[in-house]
Amino acid sequence: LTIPGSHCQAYATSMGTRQIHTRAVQMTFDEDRGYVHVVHVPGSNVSKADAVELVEAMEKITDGRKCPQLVDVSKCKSVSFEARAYFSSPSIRAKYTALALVGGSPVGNMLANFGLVAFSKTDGPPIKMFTSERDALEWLTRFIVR
Amino acid sequence: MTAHGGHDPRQAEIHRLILDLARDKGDESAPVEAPGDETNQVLSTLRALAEELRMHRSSFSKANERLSELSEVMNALLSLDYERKAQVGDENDILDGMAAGLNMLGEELSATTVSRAYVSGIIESMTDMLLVVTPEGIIQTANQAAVALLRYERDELTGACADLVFPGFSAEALIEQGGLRDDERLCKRKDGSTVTVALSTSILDLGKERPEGLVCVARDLTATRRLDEERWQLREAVQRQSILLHELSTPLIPISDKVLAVPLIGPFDEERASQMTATLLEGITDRRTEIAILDITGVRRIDAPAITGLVRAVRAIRLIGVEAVMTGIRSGVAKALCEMEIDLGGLRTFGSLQQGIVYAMNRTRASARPPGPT
Repeated sequence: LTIPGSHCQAYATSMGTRQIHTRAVQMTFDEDRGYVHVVHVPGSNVSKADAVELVEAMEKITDGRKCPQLVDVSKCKSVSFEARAYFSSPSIRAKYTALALVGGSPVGNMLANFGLVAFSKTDGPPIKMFTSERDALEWLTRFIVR
Repeated sequence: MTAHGGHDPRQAEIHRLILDLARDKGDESAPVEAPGDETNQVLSTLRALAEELRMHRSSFSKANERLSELSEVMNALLSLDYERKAQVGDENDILDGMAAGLNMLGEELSATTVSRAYVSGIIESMTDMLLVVTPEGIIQTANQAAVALLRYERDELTGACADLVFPGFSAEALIEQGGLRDDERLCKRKDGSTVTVALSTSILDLGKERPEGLVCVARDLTATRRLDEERWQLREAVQRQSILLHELSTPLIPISDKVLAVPLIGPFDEERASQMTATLLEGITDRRTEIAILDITGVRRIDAPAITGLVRAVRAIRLIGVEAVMTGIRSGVAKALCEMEIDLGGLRTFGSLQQGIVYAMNRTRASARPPGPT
């Protein structure tokens, strides 16, 4: 699970999960439940390069399978304009089936809100913002294909 | 205890107030449990409250600073300055959330709108004068070039009537006619002097019901006029020189009433041969010449087309009944004539102009003499 030229560290864990750490996030693919869980590293400032790395990691961890995503930005500090534009581009949005954004903190909520605005400009899979992971996962479950 | 050893009721009230304050802050642990009497307990609680107050004051001061910074960023956004960023701290509190939001708002606005600094930079770097005038004819904006050209302070221009600068200016009329382009007109400066400018106006339409005003761009024509004048003078000088050169290139020297000499000097090409023929024919006709001497002593090099032109000149002279004589044929020219196998058809040639003149004078004298007895 290595990504050439990136800062990713990959781990194969037990219980049907796989993990990748990038500069900005810790990503876990729950193979049993069929979704990707992305948690931003505390204090991370996400640049375009980080965003590209994140998407590459997502494709790697799922072996290119389209899955729902649960992204927790509660500890994230900033996401650059270029990174937001990249995440919201139709080609990137086509890589997953649903996106649950967890704000969970004042900065996180703000980032998630701006993310929603950016995503609303293009067509793509369903996207919703939550303040808790539990609610987010509950919503995301409906998009999981066994 | 009072000074007289009695119980002071105010002391009891102080104790009660302090303990109530400690309870009011909603802290489970308050009031502070301390060994000893009630006074000790109150003192400990007071110390804890003092510490808490210090912390509150400190965080209040920090919050004030951060709010002040956020306020400055908001003001910058309102002024269309999108470069200003707020510091997002590590507390991840509501102020950090606001800071992150303002920063992203600035980025979004920067990507979707043009900043004031960018627009101002364009306007101020223009070399031509720019005035933005309301439909009522009031100057709203004046750039640095306008200030420099009109010699007004910027404050004096903004808010003034455009008529001050362009006498008879009517914004309404110009809006009605859809603006104008490169209209030469006089522009009045502060000191009363005038300058000619090329004025172009376009309607400022911001998508509202009525036009916002007129954008007037005026180009100072002083330098252009001076350049035109210089160019005109230069052209005249070149023309004068050209005429002079033309005259000098084919000088007609009357040797007598009937003899004309044409000394040719310098490079001789087909064009010059053609010029010479025209000048010579004109001179011969005017003077009733009988013999024309073409002296080519001063011609060092001659090419084939020029030789053809020269021969054509000789034939033309003969056609109008004048005898042509050629003098001063140099070796190079003679060689060229031979190589081209040109038949000069009985053309009289002499080595020098002097010999040619002697021949011509004798010939004309002889023709003038009345026929003698045979």
